[in-house]
Amino acid sequence: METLIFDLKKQIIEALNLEDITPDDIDTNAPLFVEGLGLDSIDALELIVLMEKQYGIKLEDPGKSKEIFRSVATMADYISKNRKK
Amino acid sequence: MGVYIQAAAQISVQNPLCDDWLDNPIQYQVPYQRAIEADYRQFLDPVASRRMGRILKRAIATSMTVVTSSGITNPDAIIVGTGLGCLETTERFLLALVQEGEEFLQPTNFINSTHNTIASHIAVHLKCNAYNSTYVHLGVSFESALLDAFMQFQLGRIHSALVGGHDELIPNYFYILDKVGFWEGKLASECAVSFMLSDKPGNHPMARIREVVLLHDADEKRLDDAINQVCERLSTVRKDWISPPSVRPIFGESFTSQAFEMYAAAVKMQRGLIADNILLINQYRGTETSLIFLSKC
Repeated sequence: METLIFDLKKQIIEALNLEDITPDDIDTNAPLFVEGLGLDSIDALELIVLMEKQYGIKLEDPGKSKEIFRSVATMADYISKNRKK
Repeated sequence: MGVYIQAAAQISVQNPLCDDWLDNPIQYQVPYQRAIEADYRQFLDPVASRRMGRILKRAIATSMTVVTSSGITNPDAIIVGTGLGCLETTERFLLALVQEGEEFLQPTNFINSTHNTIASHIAVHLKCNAYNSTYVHLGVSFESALLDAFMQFQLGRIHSALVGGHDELIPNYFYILDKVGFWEGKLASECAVSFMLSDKPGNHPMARIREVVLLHDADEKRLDDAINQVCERLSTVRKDWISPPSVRPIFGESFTSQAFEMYAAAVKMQRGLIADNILLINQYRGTETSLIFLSKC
């Protein structure tokens, strides 16, 4: 799981072009949106693309997105259970 | 009615957001040179800037500079001319389209790939809901934007306008145009120039725009006729208007290079380094011609 979390942080930094931020700067359990990294709705779209591109996960139920994208930890947990690649 | 240049700012192959080029222009011996970037942190917070390509950052930086210099924070119009728009983001988006088989396309690249992204980003940044328009007419894109502003001033519809010429040049596009001999040995480069215009001279106007003319497929006679007509309207004669040496060897060639010509003329005019009446002529590829008449204030 640790490797997945580290890779995920790197992928988030790259996808969202978070200059000057390293994986170590991202708190695994901190909220991704509004607080924490302060992401917004366009970032959510980028993360959906990231999940599909890197892990083959298509988010079918938009209602679950809020829970899945709450933090890096919740994203990693969902990926580990649903990844297709 | 007068149209006055209140402030002007550039980002180019010369030092950004200053007039260093006047005394110490940087010389280049290469066919292609990208612009020298400004420190964008003073204009944009990191969250906002991370979604912006270079052309957007340059447009915001030059726009904010003229807003600050002129004190006009909420112009009546934002009008941008761009030959190629957000080329870098467009290339990124199209490459992803090809490489990923039309899947996994990043929304930010899509959002920022359109030409009117530049004017709209400036508006969002300034929180300006006024008239917002983009002109994409290759070598006369900037002059088209300027003409729009000038006509609206004449009609009394606006009292201030933020007008810009913005283009970026990615390596692939340089090479493609280079292969067909487009650059003709000139320095291929990028352009980011913003002007704040108003219908009041204010305290320190740089120059007055007397007339803007666009001509299509004009031969020499039609060009002369157009110039003479303007001279007559302005109660002057042809010899009153001087066309200075081009500054393109200093700033480089791009689709909106004429913005540099107007910028340089205005800077020099304000400092008394140039004639009092200037006529800037741009003849793009033999088909499009623009005339900008500038006078000292």
